[in-house]
Amino acid sequence: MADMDLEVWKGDWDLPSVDTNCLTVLFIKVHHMLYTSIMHVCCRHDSINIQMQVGRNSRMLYTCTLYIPRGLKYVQFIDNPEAYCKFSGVSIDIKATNNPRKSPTGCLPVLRHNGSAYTKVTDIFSYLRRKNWGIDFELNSKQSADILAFTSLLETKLLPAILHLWWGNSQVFIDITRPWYGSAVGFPQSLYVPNRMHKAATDRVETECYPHLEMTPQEKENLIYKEAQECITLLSKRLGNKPFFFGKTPSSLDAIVFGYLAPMLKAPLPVNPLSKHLGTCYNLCQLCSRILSKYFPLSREELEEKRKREEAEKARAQELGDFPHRTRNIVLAVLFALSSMVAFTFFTGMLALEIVDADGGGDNMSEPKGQGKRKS
Amino acid sequence: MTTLKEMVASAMTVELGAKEPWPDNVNLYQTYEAGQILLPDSASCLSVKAFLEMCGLKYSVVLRNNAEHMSPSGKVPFIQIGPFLISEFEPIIGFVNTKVHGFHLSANLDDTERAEMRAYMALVDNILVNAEHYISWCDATVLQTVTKPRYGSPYPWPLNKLVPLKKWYEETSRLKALGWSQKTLSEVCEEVQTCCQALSERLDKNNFFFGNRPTELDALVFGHLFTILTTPMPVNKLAEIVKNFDNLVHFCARIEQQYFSATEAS
Amino acid sequence: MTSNSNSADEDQMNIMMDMEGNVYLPINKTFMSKKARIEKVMVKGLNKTKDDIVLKQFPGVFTAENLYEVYRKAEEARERLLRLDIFSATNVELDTANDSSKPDSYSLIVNVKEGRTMNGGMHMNSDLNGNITPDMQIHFRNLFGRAEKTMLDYQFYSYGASTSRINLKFTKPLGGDPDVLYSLGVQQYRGTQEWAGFKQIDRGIYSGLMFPSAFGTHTLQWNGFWREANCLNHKTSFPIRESMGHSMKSSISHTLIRDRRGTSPFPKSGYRLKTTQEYAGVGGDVKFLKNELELEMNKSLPFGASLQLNIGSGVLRSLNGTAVKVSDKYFLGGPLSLRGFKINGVGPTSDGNSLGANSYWLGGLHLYTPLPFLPNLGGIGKHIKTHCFVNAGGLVNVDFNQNWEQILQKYRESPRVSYGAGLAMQISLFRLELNYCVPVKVQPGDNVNPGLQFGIGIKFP
Repeated sequence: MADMDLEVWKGDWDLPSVDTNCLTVLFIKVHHMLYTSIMHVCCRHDSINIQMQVGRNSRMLYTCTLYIPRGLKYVQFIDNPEAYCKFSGVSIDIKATNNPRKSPTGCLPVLRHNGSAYTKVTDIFSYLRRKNWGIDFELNSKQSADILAFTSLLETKLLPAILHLWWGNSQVFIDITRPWYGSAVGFPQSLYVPNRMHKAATDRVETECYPHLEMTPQEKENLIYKEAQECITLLSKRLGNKPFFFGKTPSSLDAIVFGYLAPMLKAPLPVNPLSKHLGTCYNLCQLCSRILSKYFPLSREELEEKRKREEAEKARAQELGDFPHRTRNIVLAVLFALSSMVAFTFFTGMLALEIVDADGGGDNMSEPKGQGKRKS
Repeated sequence: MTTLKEMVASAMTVELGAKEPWPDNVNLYQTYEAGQILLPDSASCLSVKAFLEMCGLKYSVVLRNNAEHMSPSGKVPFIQIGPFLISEFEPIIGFVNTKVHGFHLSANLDDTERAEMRAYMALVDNILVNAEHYISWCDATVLQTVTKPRYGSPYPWPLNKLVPLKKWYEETSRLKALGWSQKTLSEVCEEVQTCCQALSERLDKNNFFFGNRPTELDALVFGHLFTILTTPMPVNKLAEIVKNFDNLVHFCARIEQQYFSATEAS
Repeated sequence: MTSNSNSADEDQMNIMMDMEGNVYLPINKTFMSKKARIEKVMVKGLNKTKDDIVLKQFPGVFTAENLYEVYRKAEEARERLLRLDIFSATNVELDTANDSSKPDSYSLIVNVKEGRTMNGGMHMNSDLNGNITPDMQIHFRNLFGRAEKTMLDYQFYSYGASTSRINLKFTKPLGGDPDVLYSLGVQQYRGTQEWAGFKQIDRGIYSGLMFPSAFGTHTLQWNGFWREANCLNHKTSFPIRESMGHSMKSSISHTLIRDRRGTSPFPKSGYRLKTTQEYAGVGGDVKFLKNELELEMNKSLPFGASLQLNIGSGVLRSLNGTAVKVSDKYFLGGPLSLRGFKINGVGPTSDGNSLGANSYWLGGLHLYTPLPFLPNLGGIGKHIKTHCFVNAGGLVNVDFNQNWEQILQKYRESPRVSYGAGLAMQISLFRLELNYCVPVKVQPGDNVNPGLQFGIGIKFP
């Protein structure tokens, strides 16, 4: 089986990817890898043959051979899905291409295999399922129906709020979204790709709001966030105390919820109308952190990078603290300089004001000020 | 929560607070059934009517050819209750639940069930409603033979050509933003198939979706499925898909018999 | 400058012409009796303009028999050429014919300078909410050589602005006569009627003919407009909502204007009469018959003051029995109509929205005086006057099934009256007023605006 390519947006803020749909598909892929079970181990004097079944219900069996250096006594297997991925004969190659231009719909993620490409999350899920990848194999048909219903609920109630938060809220858009996507796609695509995504997102938000004709933009915004809060409450109630939505093992619904909520929880958004409400739904926050720590732990390099970044932040905050009003002082200084220059020109008579009546040859409405015009 | 359930269960209880009794002169406005209304609007109107019938609330239907423009949201149906005008299914049920005492269909569901009910209602909104709009405005045959003539019927020439054109542009922009206008008819049918499958699974062999009493979900599903089944269209794919699910077809027949033939006879 | 020095006659004929080419003819017997004829007409300076339209401005020029008539015909021709609005300058000269066998013949030489074909401008419009939108106008003159004019007027639309407009209009004088104009245009106009709680988009075409007669200037016009009315916000009242939607108005209207006033922004004498009849029903789904009348009479008083009486009235009758849409109804009130009331705030109202009515009447008596201390005020004194006024008016929903007495009774029952004083300024088409108003008789439901009221509008001077 040839390799599948999965193109995604790159990650940031401890997340493997920043985009909702990319996160969902990555979770499926990673979760699938965790269910690689070892069927048979055969030890020889200089090598170990391991026969594995990749995926819960699939019939794929792969054999890998480990060559042991002389003298080694113990071999310990590390619980690392990436490692399994490399050993097995089939892999999904994850590429953080940050390039939506090559995608058939202009969006990421894109799953490519054997010449066909899939971008919609549900399409990717059904394709993977046909290849015996994925999850949801233990769910009965009623639970699958429930997943479909909840997915629709998230799409109609939560997605508009998330799109509005990232793309419609001007503070977040200018501070976080546009610079991030701009630097991810690079020049010159950064000139039009973020704006194109912005337009698509705001169009989507506009169509969703039903009493839309006579509402002011502020009322529409309030409605969108109110519905999102209700949706989050419903999800929280459905999750209850269980570790995942359908018991002990995660399902695609967990992947989708994780995709929606994780960016909001992790990204340093300047303003987030949903954060307070999300904070009260503790079980959802725990679900996201559990998934992150179990399935997407930070590697040693990433931890090191994070530590360095935090130190740089602290240093910059320190510097700002010494000059808290730096910008303000600069502006005031410039204004003062300008006004003193203008006052000087008037006082020395280089410029003078003369008010002349509009009729020209008629009466003058007032005496000319200053000492008359003088060329300097 | 239990005290609220007890209070709401008894229809004779007088509730203190902002709730008021249902007045006698409530009007439901929609466009003309025979010659003007389109499939999605007809389904929406039927859902609201089913809901009101299930609650046992009285209303009269007023037909106006400019009902869409009279509505506060630009969509039919809308009801006029006292000084209030509320349009579309979800705001109407929200209004009835909060403002009118005694009528909360899903009051006896627990939290999980209520979450599921909202989720299935979102499923119908997300798939069936968009499919109805798709078939009316994006399918060339239906557009030319049914939608445009019906939508332009109240207007004189040249408005009977210009007004549907304007509406077509608005609808296709909306469907494009939602990602539906790019789909082919077979993709749309697949989605409707999945949706009906999910609904059929949920309904199973029961009379209603939740227990043995109707809820808002029953009204919504009935409105849309019954309209799809009984509206004659040149492209009948949607109806054929729904017909494959026996329990859904029987469900529609049952609701129609229980709540609508009684009123027709009277 | 020209003088007839080649004449063999000994009499001095001082024909004076000033810088702009106006001819001053001393009328004396010699002039009248001197035989003269125009043999030839030469027009110089034509480039694009077609010959036939120029020639049509010289009617009867060859019938002149004496010198006085010759000059008079020449002058008339010059005026007509100017009215065509093709030329930026015209100059008429008389020269004797070169043929010495006909001593009484003259040739008429017309020097014209064609004006620029295209000109235009851009200015900023500000509505009462403070939204500023640019307004651009482009004029094309003399497009095809026969004094056709095309005007494009485009006011940009921005969210929040209350009006926007795009208008393309083509005008042509028929038969070369500058007073008979045929016009054809297409227009889209977006307006917000805040007083009634709705906004409307009008799209349509119009075609008309304007011609003079002994009674005045007539305009006969056909309009075909697609109107789309939508509610402004959720506060729009229900009766207005019932009028919303699409409608098609295809109507023929006739307007007669007879303007015999003196020429200044505040005329001191004369009168202006305007009457309009409109029949809607030539196609479309709006069928009504409308009749309107406006009369303004002025009389001068001593000390530079003047008295003005304004009367206006209109009646609309629906022809197929359906209710009249709010887009066609009459509204009343505001600083330029019934002062002391909010703009179009005269009732009947519902939930704060004015509903309009199918007939209105309005009367006003104004006393204009020059500004008390600075009568000239730098040359713009003639544009500003103080005035005090009495206004009366009413909106009545006439029920045509009733008899005359009942109808008149309705009019008697619903007058609104106000009086006040203030400043009025008229600059070309725009009128600004700042008044202090006291409404004395109001009806329940009217939106009254007592005290200081400021208004800008368009009023034909």
